Amino acid sequence: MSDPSPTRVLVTGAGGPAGIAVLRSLALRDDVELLAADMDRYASGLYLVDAPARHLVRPGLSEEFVDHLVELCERERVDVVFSTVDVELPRLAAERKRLDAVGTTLAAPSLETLEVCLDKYALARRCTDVLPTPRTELLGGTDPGSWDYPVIVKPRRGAGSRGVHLVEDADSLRALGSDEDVLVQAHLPGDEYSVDTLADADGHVVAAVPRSRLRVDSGVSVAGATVADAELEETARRVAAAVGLVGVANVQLRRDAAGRPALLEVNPRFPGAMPLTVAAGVDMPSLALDLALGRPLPATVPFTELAVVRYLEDVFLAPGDVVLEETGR
Amino acid sequence: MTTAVGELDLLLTDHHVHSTWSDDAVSSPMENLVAARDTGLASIRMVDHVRTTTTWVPGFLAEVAALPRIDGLEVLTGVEAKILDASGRLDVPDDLVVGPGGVDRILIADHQFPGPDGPWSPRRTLEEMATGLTGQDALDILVTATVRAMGRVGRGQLAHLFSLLPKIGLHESALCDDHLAAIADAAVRSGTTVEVNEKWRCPGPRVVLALAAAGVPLVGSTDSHECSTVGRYSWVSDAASATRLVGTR
Ligand SMILES: [Zn+2]
Ligand SMILES: [Zn+2]
Repeated sequence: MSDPSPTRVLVTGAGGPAGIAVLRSLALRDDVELLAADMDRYASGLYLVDAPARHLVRPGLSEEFVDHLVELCERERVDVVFSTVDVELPRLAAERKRLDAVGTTLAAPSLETLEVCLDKYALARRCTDVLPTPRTELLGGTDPGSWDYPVIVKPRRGAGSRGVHLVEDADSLRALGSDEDVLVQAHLPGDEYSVDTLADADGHVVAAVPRSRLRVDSGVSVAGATVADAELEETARRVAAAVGLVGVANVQLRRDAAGRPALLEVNPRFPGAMPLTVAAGVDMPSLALDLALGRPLPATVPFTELAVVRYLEDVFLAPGDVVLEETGR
Repeated sequence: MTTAVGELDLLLTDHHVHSTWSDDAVSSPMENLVAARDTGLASIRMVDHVRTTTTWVPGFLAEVAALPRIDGLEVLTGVEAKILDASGRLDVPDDLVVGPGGVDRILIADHQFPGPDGPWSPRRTLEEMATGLTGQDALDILVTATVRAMGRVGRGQLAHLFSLLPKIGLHESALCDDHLAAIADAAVRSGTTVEVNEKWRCPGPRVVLALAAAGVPLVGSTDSHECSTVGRYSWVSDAASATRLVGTR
């Protein structure tokens, strides 16, 4: 029996660039009805959908987050949910069955994939025999005298550039103590790339689109370009295979001293710079929706080389149409 | 020409308005009240979602009771709960009080298909229909569960009746007259109102006319969870004027 009603898709993290990118892409499909959610009533992406489709959710770290999202999905008859928030993803993936039970498919990689990607130490160990991976050790378990300096020090878990810094010598590294949640990683000298990678239900990579970040402002890429480079694409494919990727992830690579692309980290979600990849020919949100709906994907989707500059955009509303401050309780 | 249905023109009612007591809604009861006044409603029912484990109903009722009175605007309360299974059991707390001292009505919702062994998701229902359950069987189960739920509740309100059908590949046109008669009869006997729902655009004109003809009180419903949509009808007003439930405006 066919389902003639439109597919209802909920996008969480509607205030972030990734949420907005997913909303914008899916808005172009006439078989989709979009709902947007965020914990913040001023999240701009809420205002890209009709008023009845705007929802507030609990913070991703709060105890009730999953219960409330499952109930929301049930009441709103959500067919597919896209979470673009790091802290929500593993919690939702762990309770995928509860979403399934109310008829909602989570469009996200498996919990196993998320866990290995979100733990950068586990990721480095997983990949070190499979592809070029910089030496990575726990701060507490390494001999500062054994490194070539500078080295990179960063949190074992967490996304973005928060807490990432260069350490110039062994004394400075020693001074950082022995925190088990901090990593030491060899500093690679070459150029850095973000590769948006989509794998189908069998783990076959449908597209790997490398992007160079020409300018980064507060961790957000404001100018970039897609780069056709078979070696970068192939490296991302091997990363996808190593982590068992099904769905979309953003693979961060950097060239080592020999010029080979090596793995920095994997963000197992949609990046904020996704619009460039979409414009270059690979509409990953739309393909990820087809994947979530169990529809076949093309074997490969080609992309063109394209550059982008980005700017902030305004959404104008009548004052009464802004989701109001809660005054009830 | 206006055909009187119930006590009020249904476009002057909004009997399904959610507030911040529902997890994902964004407006408070006060904001919804002001919106109802500003759109010129004569009657608003404030409704929030419950399940068996819900404990906040007394707090919700106290907040609504403390709202300022507005001349010409009736304020009613309700809780919305899904039908859990084919027996018409509802997902409401055991200690829920309906009537004096409690909520005015329970809104009976088809959020999931009421299967014989508990709620079925639309996907599960489609799977059952691919392996033997016919469309007529599914409609029989749904209608029977709805009738039983009305009997259990006493004073209920059917929320977005038949909104589930498109999700399980069915359409209201597949309902037979007996289905409609069973719903209408149970609604009249139990004093259940039936809403015409703007958000889910249901039930359609045939069902609405059959219920109206049987004397079932019909009310308008936006199913709002944001005050900017309280009492704002387009589909419902078109449907209502096309079926001459209200005069053209
Ligand atoms: Zn409902
Ligand atoms: Zn509702």
